[in-house]
Amino acid sequence: MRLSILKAAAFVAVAVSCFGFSSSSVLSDDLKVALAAEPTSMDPHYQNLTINNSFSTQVYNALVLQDVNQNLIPGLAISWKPVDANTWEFNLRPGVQFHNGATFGAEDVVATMQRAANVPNSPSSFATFIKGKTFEIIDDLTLHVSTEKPYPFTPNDMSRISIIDSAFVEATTEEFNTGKVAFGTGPFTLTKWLPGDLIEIKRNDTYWGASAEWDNILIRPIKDGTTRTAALISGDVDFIERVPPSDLPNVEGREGLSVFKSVSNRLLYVTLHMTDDPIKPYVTDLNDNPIASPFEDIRVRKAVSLAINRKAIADRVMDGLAAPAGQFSPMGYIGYSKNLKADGYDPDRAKELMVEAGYTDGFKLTMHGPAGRYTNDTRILEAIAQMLSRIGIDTSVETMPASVFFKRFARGGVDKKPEFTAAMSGYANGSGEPSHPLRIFIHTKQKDRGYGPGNRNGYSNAEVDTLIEDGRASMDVVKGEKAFIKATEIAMREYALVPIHHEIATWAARDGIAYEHGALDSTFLHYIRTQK
Amino acid sequence: MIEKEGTSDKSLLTFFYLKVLFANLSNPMAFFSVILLTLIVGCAIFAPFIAPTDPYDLSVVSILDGRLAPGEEMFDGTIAWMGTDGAGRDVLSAIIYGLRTSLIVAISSALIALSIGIFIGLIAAFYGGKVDSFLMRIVDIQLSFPAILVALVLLALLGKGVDKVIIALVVVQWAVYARTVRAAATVERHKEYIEAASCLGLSNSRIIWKHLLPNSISPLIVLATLQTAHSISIEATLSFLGVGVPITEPSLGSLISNGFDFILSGAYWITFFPGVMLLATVASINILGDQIRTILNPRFTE
Repeated sequence: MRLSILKAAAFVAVAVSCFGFSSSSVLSDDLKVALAAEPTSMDPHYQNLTINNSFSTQVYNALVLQDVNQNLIPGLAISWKPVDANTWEFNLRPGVQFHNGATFGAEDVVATMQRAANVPNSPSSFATFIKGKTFEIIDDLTLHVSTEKPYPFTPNDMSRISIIDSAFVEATTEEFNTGKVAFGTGPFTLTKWLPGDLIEIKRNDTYWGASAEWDNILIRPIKDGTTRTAALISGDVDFIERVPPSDLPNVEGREGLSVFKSVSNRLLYVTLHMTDDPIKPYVTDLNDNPIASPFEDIRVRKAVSLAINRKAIADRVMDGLAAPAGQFSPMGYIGYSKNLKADGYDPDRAKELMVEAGYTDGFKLTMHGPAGRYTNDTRILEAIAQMLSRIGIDTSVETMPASVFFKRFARGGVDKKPEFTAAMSGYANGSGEPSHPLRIFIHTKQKDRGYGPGNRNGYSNAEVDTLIEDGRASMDVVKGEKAFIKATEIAMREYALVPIHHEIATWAARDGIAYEHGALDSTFLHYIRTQK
Repeated sequence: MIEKEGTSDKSLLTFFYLKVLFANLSNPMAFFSVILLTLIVGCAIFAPFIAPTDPYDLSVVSILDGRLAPGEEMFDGTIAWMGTDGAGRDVLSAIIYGLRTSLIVAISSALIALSIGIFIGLIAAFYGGKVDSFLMRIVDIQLSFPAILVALVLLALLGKGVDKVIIALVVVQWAVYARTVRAAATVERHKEYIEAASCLGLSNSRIIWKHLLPNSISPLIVLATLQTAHSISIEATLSFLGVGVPITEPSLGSLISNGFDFILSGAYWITFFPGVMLLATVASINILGDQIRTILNPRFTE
């Protein structure tokens, strides 16, 4: 017994040292990946967060899947269609097994929906995709999902929820984190999670779809971009996401490495608090006395937008890895309006607008933002602060770790209201549903109806609200999109948000590895292939 | 009044030693470090007159000047002798101003921590017994945590800012001073002149401040010098980790951290020059501290 423990220890030591120091150029059947962040939990229903959701797709499947351009494709449902004004029918895939051997059926879907909407202590719940829907089992492989009013986005919503085995509907988040109950139907099974250090997943040989090319994938979270790049260059890992713009020329110029790029749907924007309730300490007159937010005046919001030199940010801060933006969607994506362009740089007009609005001498502003959440976030903020200072808004910048930022951003102020006056944040449409950004950020905040949970600046326009609600009530997808585009145009012209740019996403890998990429900037490991 | 004369004699002696230090800098390293330190402090004090640009004035700094190599010309015609950083700040100016932040933080935190440490240490040494045990256990607990960890936690709670960094540094440093003062004062506490003062019926506070303090202070001069260098490093580390001073008013540590993003792409100057300056500052203060220690140590005075 004692000897075998020693042997095991020796084996582990050898295995660890092999992993740590191997830099062979021959591709093994294991893939080593470094990602910029790691999931906050292995419970697919714990937190609706981009990194959690993209990791969930490796171990679990939803009824509906999305390809790299957010088109809906069959997942655990092979087809879906509306059967009456309020009901969608999903035909489920036969013969699918969970990793623990249990067979998948309609009952698992219903159980999953129940659990996903009610995970205790969830920082951002999946309930938003489930609330208001009734699930009815027609037979083992047919499911009806109905809503009270016509709702065209049920398939989009269903693409967000990872289906689990109904046997584990009562399992806690902690049990998922230990891997004890983390059984899905996805292309990989979870074998190990050492938070902050390593996630190990193994190929699921009984997967219903195209099976993965790798026996095991070892995922290391390396937050710092330069360190991540160094890990790829030194051969510690085979594949990385989010190459820092400043390191890109270096990676591109190196033998044996290849880079993949695409304009993503991740928008960086500035939000400006536009009501005087409450008065916040972050905007003051030149003698440091807090004043009502000047951004209540559309001219000041416009001045901010015109003062920002988006091209300079894209060229100088982002090394070309950004496309100046004037709306939520990048060109060619769902919800894109041809009539909205990114504001050009016009500091003279911006100064005039400041004078017209009565701020001839300017004012002092503290801007907030996350550090390390988005590519070059602190440097973009610094650049914006420079540009605003030039039109008389004496701007200082305060950045903080993303977890702190988002908490304070959402409810750090008095009465748990949003705390900041001016903040920079990012948004990527995870569900691919065109009304999502409008419903979350633009619609007047109406918590009980699920409208405006991300509306932190008090923007409110009744016409826009009506357009959003009408679009969401129409089963005619084309008509709906027209309403959304109109709402987007009104809101963006009123500077409900000030869009900065869309990030251009990057990945890098050793030669011999290919990655299929599209609108999504998060990494989907099952799209990493060997190059033919 | 005799004892009073005695004490002032001793503190005079301390200043005499300092004089000796500057007069007899036979060690070329020490001489060099004093010159360097004088230059550094001078630069920091007169920063607005020396620096070619004002790196904190965001309406002057331009992103379009970002990452110029050393010697290139900026948009407004100023030559950036040490290049510019990612935000378009002249690195030379940023170093000069950053030095200021670093020194202000280090010196003021050292002075505040020194005062607190002296107070606690003297109280502990004079009263002894339970008071001593209680205070010294607090010191032990404080010292058992790594300084950088305590500072990180504090700043995570307090937020960013020069004042907050100073608070954090005081919290991590006062215990070092308290322990040293207490050790020195405990030795003095049992000497005859203190007993004599007690017998004369002088008040406790008078004995502590007029008799005990002046005689226990010399080891602190060395310690304070070395701790100042130490707090410059801690501040740089904190700023490097992103919890120190605001990004728009960089200290040496945040300048190094800024440049770290670019080091693989060849823009070495953003990290290199502030790094050299940090090294020079900390090294020269340390060498000076060592020199003072040598001179103050009775074994070496002969």
